[in-house]
Amino acid sequence: MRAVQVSFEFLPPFRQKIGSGRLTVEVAGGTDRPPTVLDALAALELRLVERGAVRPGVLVFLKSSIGGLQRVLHADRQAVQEGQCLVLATAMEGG
Amino acid sequence: MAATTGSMHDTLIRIDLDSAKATLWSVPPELKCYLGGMGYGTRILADEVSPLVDALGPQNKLILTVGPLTGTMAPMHPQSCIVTKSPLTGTILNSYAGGFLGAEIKFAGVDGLILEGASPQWVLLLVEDGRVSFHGAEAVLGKSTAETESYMRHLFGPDVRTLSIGRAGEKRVAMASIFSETRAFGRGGAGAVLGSKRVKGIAVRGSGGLTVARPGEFAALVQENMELLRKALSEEYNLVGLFSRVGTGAGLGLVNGRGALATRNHIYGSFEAGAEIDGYAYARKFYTRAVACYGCPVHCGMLHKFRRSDGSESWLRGPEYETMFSLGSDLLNGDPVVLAEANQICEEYGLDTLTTGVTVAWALEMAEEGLLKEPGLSLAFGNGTGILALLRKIGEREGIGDLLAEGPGRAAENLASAAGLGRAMQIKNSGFAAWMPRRMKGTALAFATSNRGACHKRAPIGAEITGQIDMNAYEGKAVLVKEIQDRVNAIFTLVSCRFHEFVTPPEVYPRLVAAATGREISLEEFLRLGERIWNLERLFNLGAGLSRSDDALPERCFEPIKGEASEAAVMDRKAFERMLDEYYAARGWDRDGVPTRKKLEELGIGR
Repeated sequence: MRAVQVSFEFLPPFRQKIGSGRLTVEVAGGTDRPPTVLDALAALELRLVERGAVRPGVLVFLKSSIGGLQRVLHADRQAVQEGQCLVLATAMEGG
Repeated sequence: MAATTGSMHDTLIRIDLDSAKATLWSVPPELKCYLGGMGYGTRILADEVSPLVDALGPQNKLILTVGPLTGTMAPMHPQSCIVTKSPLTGTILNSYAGGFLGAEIKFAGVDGLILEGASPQWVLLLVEDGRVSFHGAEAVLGKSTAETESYMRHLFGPDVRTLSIGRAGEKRVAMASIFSETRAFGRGGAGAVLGSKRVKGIAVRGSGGLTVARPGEFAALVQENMELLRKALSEEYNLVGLFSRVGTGAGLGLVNGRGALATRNHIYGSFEAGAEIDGYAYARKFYTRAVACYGCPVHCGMLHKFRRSDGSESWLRGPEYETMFSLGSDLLNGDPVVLAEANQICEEYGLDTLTTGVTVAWALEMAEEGLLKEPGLSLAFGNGTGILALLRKIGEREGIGDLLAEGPGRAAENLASAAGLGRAMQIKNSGFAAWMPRRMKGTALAFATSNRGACHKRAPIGAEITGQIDMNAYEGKAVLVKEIQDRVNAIFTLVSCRFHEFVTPPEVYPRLVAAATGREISLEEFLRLGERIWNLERLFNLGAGLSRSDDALPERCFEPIKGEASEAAVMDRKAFERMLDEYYAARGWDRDGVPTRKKLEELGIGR
């Protein structure tokens, strides 16, 4: 299926690793399936995918057109569309 | 002094400050089921102190306790717990500090101290292997917390562990904290209570050992727990691992990105300069060393070396994430040096950075509107000089500092401006922690219903901010908040570090307790203990005159947050009241938030 262009925004510590706050990547899916969030993560050279899943502690969000962030809980099943923006972060807790 | 069987000594020291006498007090059997820590403190205060006492009067007590795992090999149990009536909120208060004091109290052969009455003159106390001596504090009156603790080490020996108050505690600033070396009993004004008792500092030395009831079993459980921690710390993106590398400011980016970082007195939910003051920024900009508490492999405390505005070099442990909000984004302060210096002023004076910062944010907004002014002081968001000067005025109770020293809610009431009160971001006069209730609905409920006011330690923050659950939803939050409050209360009877729970499943705790003390307790009983303590606190607060109307959010929470990332998040008034009704029902309380007789009987506590 056709590849799509997906942009990434990086929050710390990914911003420090990449050396930039943003990046656009081309993401291809399988021969008979559209590209997924997991495919997009694999397209980054950050080793964020391990044994077919997102590495522990890596949080992925889909940025909406009005600015909010929607958590992606099933990266292998969520398709990405042309021009979408994914945001990478790590967790936070109160205490 | 020989340690008793099991990890608890079953003894506290009652210190009568009026007569400068101390006696050993055996823990009665009916108290032991509270395990220690917050459980002991809450039960003792509820039994011995009327909720109507003046928090700064001699009838109030300050109870400092440790738990069954304090001082043992169990990782991440360094903390000690203070329970008292809060002069800031008028509620029961529990406050915690890490460091090394907790373990030393255990080695001194006791499970805690109960400070009663008030000393006729300022004193320093030395607690040494179960004995207490009283010493004049004239040499350190007016001194900072660091100077006071340094003096105590000089006076009593370099091996003592210490706590102290600064000028804010001496002047009974409502949000004065108690500091202990690099840590603080931050919230709720415990420093003012100690000041009202004319205790400037306490030093502890213990030469005793500590045993556990079932050493082989305990060691195996500790080994398992350490493996969990080691695994977490080795994962590149594990939160506790990130804390160990750059401190609690590691997570500021996510909060900012999700529009939940309160900015400019909670008007906005994201701060453009957030990346200049987060944990990564401090690690990058300043020479940094990590420091740990007793028995902790995480070492989340970051010591930074920085140059102050007067050109002198200084060290600071922090700022923590919470302070990055309260003295940073909430004041539009994106300067890491000003933030560090502001944090240091709070340490010097012994001030809670959270409630103090929230009060300053309110004051800056009032100054903008011409409702507050101080001659010679430029009060504006982002004005570092003005902010630093205002902090000192609060610590000294000077000028408008005297108004602000009463806390954000009382200051707003005293200003007699209805609009002003709605913009003081406080609950029960305790300033918000670093989370935006109208952005995170479960956290809103947790803040509003917190027994000590606006408490972030017992809220579904992680699940909401990471998007594990929908932060905008109201449904299901009532039961979730109750569960977290009860669980954390139980864990605080052990005086666990909060971060320990981020890595450790709840079923580990009763097993550790059983092996340490010989006292069997099921997970269900352990969690039920937390619920029992929550209800005891609630009864105290109701007795103090609080009601459903105090489980409320300030008016600003019902206005949309500005800024794209916050999605115009707002609290719906009716939905909040429904959530509160559901919460009371989940707790087995009536519509006014009063525990029913049935619930109290179920929990084994009388009215």
